[in-house]
This record gives sequence, structure tokens and C-alpha cells, in this order.
Amino acid sequence: MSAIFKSNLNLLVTGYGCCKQDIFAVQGALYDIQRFCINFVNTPEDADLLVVQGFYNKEGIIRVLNIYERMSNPRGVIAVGTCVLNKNLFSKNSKLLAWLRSTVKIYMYVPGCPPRPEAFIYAVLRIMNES
Amino acid sequence: MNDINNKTYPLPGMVFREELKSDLEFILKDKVDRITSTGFDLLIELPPENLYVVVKELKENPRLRANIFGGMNTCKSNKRNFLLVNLRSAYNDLSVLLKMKMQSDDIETSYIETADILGEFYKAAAFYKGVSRIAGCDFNIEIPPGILDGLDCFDIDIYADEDKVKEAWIDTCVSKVLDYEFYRDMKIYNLIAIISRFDWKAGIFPELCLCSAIEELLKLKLTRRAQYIRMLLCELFRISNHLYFILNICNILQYDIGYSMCHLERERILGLIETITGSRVVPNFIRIGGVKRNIEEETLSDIRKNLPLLFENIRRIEKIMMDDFLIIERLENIGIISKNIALEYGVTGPNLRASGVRNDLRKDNDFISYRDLSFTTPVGREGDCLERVIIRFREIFQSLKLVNQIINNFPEGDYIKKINLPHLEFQPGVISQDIECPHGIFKIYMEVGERNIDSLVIKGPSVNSLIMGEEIIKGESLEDIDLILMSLDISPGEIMSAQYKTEY
Amino acid sequence: MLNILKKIFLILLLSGLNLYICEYFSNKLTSRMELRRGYRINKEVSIGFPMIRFLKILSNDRKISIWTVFIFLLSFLIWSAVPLSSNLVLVENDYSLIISISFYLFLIVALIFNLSESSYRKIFSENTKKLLILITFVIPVLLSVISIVLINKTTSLKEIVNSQYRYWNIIMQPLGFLTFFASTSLQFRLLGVSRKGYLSEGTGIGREGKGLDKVIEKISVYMIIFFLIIIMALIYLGGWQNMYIIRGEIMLALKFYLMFFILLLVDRIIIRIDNYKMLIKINFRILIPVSLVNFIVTFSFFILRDIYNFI
Repeated sequence: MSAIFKSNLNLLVTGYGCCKQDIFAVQGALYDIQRFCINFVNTPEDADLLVVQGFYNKEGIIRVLNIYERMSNPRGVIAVGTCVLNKNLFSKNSKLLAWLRSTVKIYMYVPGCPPRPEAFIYAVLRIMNES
Repeated sequence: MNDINNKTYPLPGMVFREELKSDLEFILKDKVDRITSTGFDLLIELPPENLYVVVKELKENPRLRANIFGGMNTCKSNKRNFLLVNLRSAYNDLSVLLKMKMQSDDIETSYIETADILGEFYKAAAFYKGVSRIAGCDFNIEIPPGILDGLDCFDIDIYADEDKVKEAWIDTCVSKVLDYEFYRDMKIYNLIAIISRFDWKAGIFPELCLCSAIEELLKLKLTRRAQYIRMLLCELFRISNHLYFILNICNILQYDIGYSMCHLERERILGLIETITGSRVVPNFIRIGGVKRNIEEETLSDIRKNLPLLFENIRRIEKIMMDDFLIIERLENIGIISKNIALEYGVTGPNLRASGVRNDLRKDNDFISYRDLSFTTPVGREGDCLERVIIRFREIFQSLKLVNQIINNFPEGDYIKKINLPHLEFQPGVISQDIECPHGIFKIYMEVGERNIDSLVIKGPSVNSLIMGEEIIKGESLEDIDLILMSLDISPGEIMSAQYKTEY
Repeated sequence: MLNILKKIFLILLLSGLNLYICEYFSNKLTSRMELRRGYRINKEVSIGFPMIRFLKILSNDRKISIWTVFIFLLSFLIWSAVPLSSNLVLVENDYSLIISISFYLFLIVALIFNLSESSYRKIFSENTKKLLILITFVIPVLLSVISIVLINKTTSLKEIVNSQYRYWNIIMQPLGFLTFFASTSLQFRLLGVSRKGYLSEGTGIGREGKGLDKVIEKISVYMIIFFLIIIMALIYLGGWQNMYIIRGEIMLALKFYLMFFILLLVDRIIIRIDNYKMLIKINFRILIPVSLVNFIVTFSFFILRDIYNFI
């Protein structure tokens, strides 16, 4: 029964950046992530996993944390792309990862600038199969 | 024969620009410090006190008539601080950059003051006042950034009466992420590697713009093969961008079959790009003096094999979309951009062409070597959402035609001119470069020192489209806002470069 | 007494089975109108797969309004007067068509009230507006049902089916069938049955959500669609009439799944309807006039045949 609850995931993508088009390419017919029963949703209340990618300033970080608080049953966070993992390309003093690590649990890191769609699918499937 | 393609003859615009320069010197006289010609634009340096007089002269003089407000940018560094204002004219070839030197302390306040002064002449300048503009307004609906690429970099504050939008303000507070001097201590080849993030929907164009600006400074002439490789990539990226646009429209309409078919075709294009450059969306492929890697014969035959498939499938997508009366009814007569509004806000590219103005840098200027190839620039008439979608389809077919011509006449020769990049030394100078990217005219202004780039200003066309979005959603119903803003093809990376962040 | 309990059990079983199969198919169909290659999830989950969504939603608790209870009751009461075969009917009645159609109208009204009660992130006016659009799609359904009644001179579903022993009503009423079908497919779209995930933003009903009320909403949406398909099969396509050697019940099931599959396919090629302009274009300019013409023709035919005995 627990396996059933773990298998159906709703993702919410926040931020804006180049990773977004490769994340959403996963919805297309070639990669077709819906066959693993993974959906992208629009509202934080429905989401299980938060995908953090792209560029953030102070205002953006506050909004991400707000979104995380609004999620009714959060399972964790996937951090995608170099801007989140390492350093922001355009603002060197960005402390996004430190902010995130201090407040939320990061489930999976997907490196790459931007990562390929296969890498993103692999990360989500790893989360699904962990039990 | 090679020399004809390598820009030995002066362009027709160049002669005009010389005349214009002497005209301006005569009209403006002692109000300005200096007038110099930088690439496609004229640079006018002036003290901040004279801005009002100069702009008035530029706008109201019947010989100049600079009626288009291109944009406004700040540049702040240790060495120099200045504001840069771009004005253009729809009637002649005039395009000027006004440069005002500022003290480093008061650049933020003077930014707002300058926007105030310009606001008397141009409506679009009011956008640059930033947060202070929105603070006093009363709105009853606040739409946070959306999920889709293109709608995710701004808030919209709306004053609505029932479901009709009366007033709208766009607030880009989320997208101010750029450091003032992100290019400091950066070598030029590092800058080429990261600059494609400024327009990630079509990543080749910022690189191309930067490299061709530096080539202009170095007076470097490209080989024919390098030019053809660049053109091939430009057209492939243009097709990819337009398909991305159409699939986003399908996504908003929840038109599943169009969404999925566009995705398939886009993946096909991205596959071709990947075989050439090694990366899907951010190529890092253009180098100073040529390109990074040669294109093999196998790749060309691969493209040749895929072209008819692409043509057939995109034609099919167009057919099923444009035969569906539901889609036509949904898109028709919303978000109408009239000719005058489009020109007033300085919109370029397909959005301008959809409202009936023929404007294409590929045709007008000698851009790479598009002169060799035969193609037409599609022009619309109505300027509504439907027209903008149709224009994209027609441009895709023109691009496919261009790709076909390019791979059939692919010249032999070197793909790069060997230059000693780590020890490159420039003649210090100023250059501005325009380029026709899928959203409009992409502009780079830079001042080059001996080794490094001292100041760099990037201005994308999406900023103007976004400012105009504020105007055209007035009077539309709430459900159509997403659709109208998406149909302007906004690339968030260019919004990022429009406003520098003030504090972290 | 025991007989009725047995029938109730059978109907519940049938509707549960249908929910399972239809949810499975709507997950299996890609937007390219092909069947998906298959799910790569754990083996123990694969059987329970279509129910995952329902089970998962149940794991969160939320407040339940009185309208949710109404919806829950109505979505089962709707089957009380509908005969699924010559024997399988709970309440034998001469007015079964009227009763079942009125239950269907009640269900839609209850859905509206439920939505406006629990305004889920959306503003009140937007949801109700979309549902009012939904209600106008009921008008063509009613008009075509009335013309069927005029043709067959009865309001009992059983008699309507029995009167089709020679030829189906679709031959008499092709326009009525078409408007009924178009209206059903548009309701399918508006209710957001097959909408999942990111692309989904139907009326707010078919959206992803959590809590018991969302499950009930989802079930009721399925029930509306099942009801419309069954009614369509009964009054136009001959219901449980035998065909050569195939039994009538099997024929009904075949018709049902065929209709559902066609509706799923049609759902992929219709854009979303959230606009008054669209409503006027589709409904008030095409569907309602066509069904009105059909109704007027049928009515004049009825007058000529039955009152003046001309034909």
C-alpha cells in the first residue's frame, strides 16, 4: 500500500531559467513522463515535490519558501541546474542553496547547465523507486 | 569573388549615416560633448542637464523625427557609470544612443529622474520607473508569475471591472538577478560561453551578436564556410524557437495533439543542433573569426534527409490548427496591435511584421551573407493573436527554404581563422551591434579596453514587447491575458538584462 | 427485498468496474492518440494502478460540505431508473426517462453549489461562469430527448428500447444524435475527465486535488459521463437489442466502451472552453439552432401524423 502512495508524483516547477524548457520537454511525446504516472501541476496545494531551478533574487527566494509552506504534503525538493547547485552565473553572491538547505530537505540534485531531459527523468524515477 | 561577400563595398546605410552625423553635429552644436559612429548606431555623449533639450530636438525636428523609444539601460562599474538611452526613427535610418555620465552614488535616483524626463516624450519610458510606479496605484487582482516559460518572470497587477481589464501594471521584481558587473574579470571566451543564457529560447543569437561585434572591432573578415555554418545554425534555432512558441500557445489552449506534435518536431530540430554543436539549447559554438567545429558531410546528409519530413509534419500541424474553427475563433480579434502602437513601443521582429510593417535586418542590412540566398519576409495585416501565430508558421517555412539553399551550396574552405585568443589585444573602442533574432532585434553595446571588456550592455527585444503587453491587455477579458502575453513571445532572459538589481 | 439488494450490488459492481476500466484507458491514451508503451512502476502496484489517484487523494482529510453529500447520493441515485438490461432496473416506472434526466440536472446544479462553496484558489465568479457554460450545453440534450419522446410516444426507457427492434432511432434522428454527441463531448471536455496534471484546468472539477470531496467530485463527474453515454446508447443505438447471435448485454457494453473511446479521442482535439465568445460561437450559433431545427421538424411530423393523421 505504501508503494502505491509513493508512485504517483505531482511536480511543481518554480523559478525561471534555461532549465525550464528541458524540464518541460519531458512532457512531450518523445520522453512522455506521464507513463510513469508523473504529472506537472499548477498549484502548490496539489504538489508533492518542488522543482527548484533557475535564477532567484531575494524576492524570488521568499516566494519559493512561501510556495513550499503552501504545499499540503511536501515530500522534498529537487534542485536542478548549476545555478542552484553551484553558483549563479550572473550574481556571484547568490546564497540560494544555503537558504534552501537550512530550511527544507533536498531530495535530489540534478547537475548540468541545463541538464538533459533524461537526467531529470532519471532523478524523478530514483525518488519513486526509493522505499 | 570572395571579396564581395567579405564586406569590401560600403553599405548603402553607411553613406547615409555619415550625412546624418554631420546633420546632428549641426543641429545639436554645443549641447553635446561628442558624436561618434559605432557600428549601426550613432553614439551621442551628453551631460545629464541637457537631456531634455536634446530629446526634444531629436523628437520634434522634422529632419530627424526619432519617434521610437528603444530602451534604457544602466551600466555601473569601478571605472565608469553611465545611462544609455536608445532612440530610433520609423521614417529614416536614424538610430542613436544617448550616453550620460553619472556619479556612481546617485545612479539609481538619476535613473528614475531620466525615466521621468523621457516619459514626457515617450509612453514606454514610464515602465523604467520600476517599483515606484506601482506603489501608488490601486489594483484589485494580483497575478503572480506563472509556470510557463515566458510568463514566469513578472507579476501583473490589474484593476479589473468584473472580467474586463481596465488598467494593468507589469512588475518585474522577480527577474532582477543580474549583477552590475557580471562580466568583470571574465575573459572573452568565458563570456561567449555564458552569454547564450540571455536568450535561451534561441541560444545562438547572443553569441553571434557578441562575436560579430568583436570581429567588427578587429576588422576581421570571415571565410565563406564559416558564414554559411553560422547562417545554418541561425535558421535551425529560429525554427526551434518558433515551434516552442506554437507549442506554448497549444499548451495554454489545452490543444493536446498540437502540443505533442510540436514537441516531436522540436526534438527533431534539437537533435540536428546537437549533432552540430554538441548541446541542445545553449550551444557555445560561435568563436571569434569563425565557429568551433567543422560540419561533416554526414551531418549535412542527415539534415538533408530530415528536411522533407520536417516540412511535411509542420505543414500538417499548420493544417490541422488552421482548419479548426474553434482555434480560429479563440485567437481571432484578441490582443490587437495596431501599426502605430507597435512602432511607438519599439517592438521589432515577427510581432511588428504581424501588424503590417516590413522590417527584417536579414534583408535590410548586410547581415552575415543572407544576400546570397533568396527568401521573403512574411508580413501580416491584422496584428491579432491569430496573425502572430500564422506569421511564425510562415517564417518556419521560409527558414526551411533557407536551410535547403544553404546545405545545397555549402562552400569549401576553413571554418575558422586562427587567432591568438588568450593574447588578443584590441584597439580600445566602442561598438554596438544589432542582430535579427527570432523575437526581434537583439542589441549589444560595449566599450572595449586593451584586454577586457570594460562595459557591456545587453538589450533584448522582449522588453519592448512586454511593455507593450501592458497596453494591449487593456479592454480584454481576464481569460485572455495569458494567451495574449504568450503570443508576444517573451524570452525571460532578456527581461533579466533589462533591469539590474539594486540590492541583494 | 433480496432481489433489490442483488440488483443494487450488481449496479455498484458494474459502475466500479467501469470506473476502473475507463480510468485505465484515459491514462493509457497519449495525446498523440496512441496507447502508451506501458508503466514502469513496481509490480505490486500495477494492478491497482488506475485506482492510485483515488487512493492517494483519500490520504488527506478536508472539510466536507453538505453539497458534497448531495453529490455523492445523487451520483448513485442517477442509476435508479435507468434500465441496464431488460431485468436489471431498480425502479420500474413509466416515466423513467424524465426521472433520470431530472436527476442528472440536479447533479449538475449540486456540482455548481459545491464548487462555489469550496472555492479552490480560483475566484468565485470564474468557476460559476464556467459551470453556467456547462448548463447551456444541457439545452441541446433536452431538445433532442424531447424529440425522441415525440417519435416514440413514450417516456419509459424500456419501451423506447423495445420499440427499436426493427431499426435504431439514429436512422430517424441523425441530427438529434449528432447534437447530443457534440454536447456530450463538450461536457466531457468541460468537466475535465481525462485532464491530468499540468495541462488540466477544466472547470476546477477535473483538477488535481486532495481530500474526500475531490474524490466524490471525480466520481460524480465520471457518473455524469457514464449516464450520458448509457442514455445515448439506449435511446439512439438500440440499447440491449440482440444482434444476430450476440447477446444484448454484451452489445450494450461494446457500444458503451466504443463511445467512451471515441469521446476520449475527441477530447484530445478540442481546445479548452473558458470564454463567452466561444460559448456563443459553438453553442448558440451551431448546437442549439441545429437541435431546434431537429425539434421543430420532429414536432411538425408528430402533429401531422398523430393529430391530423395525414401520414
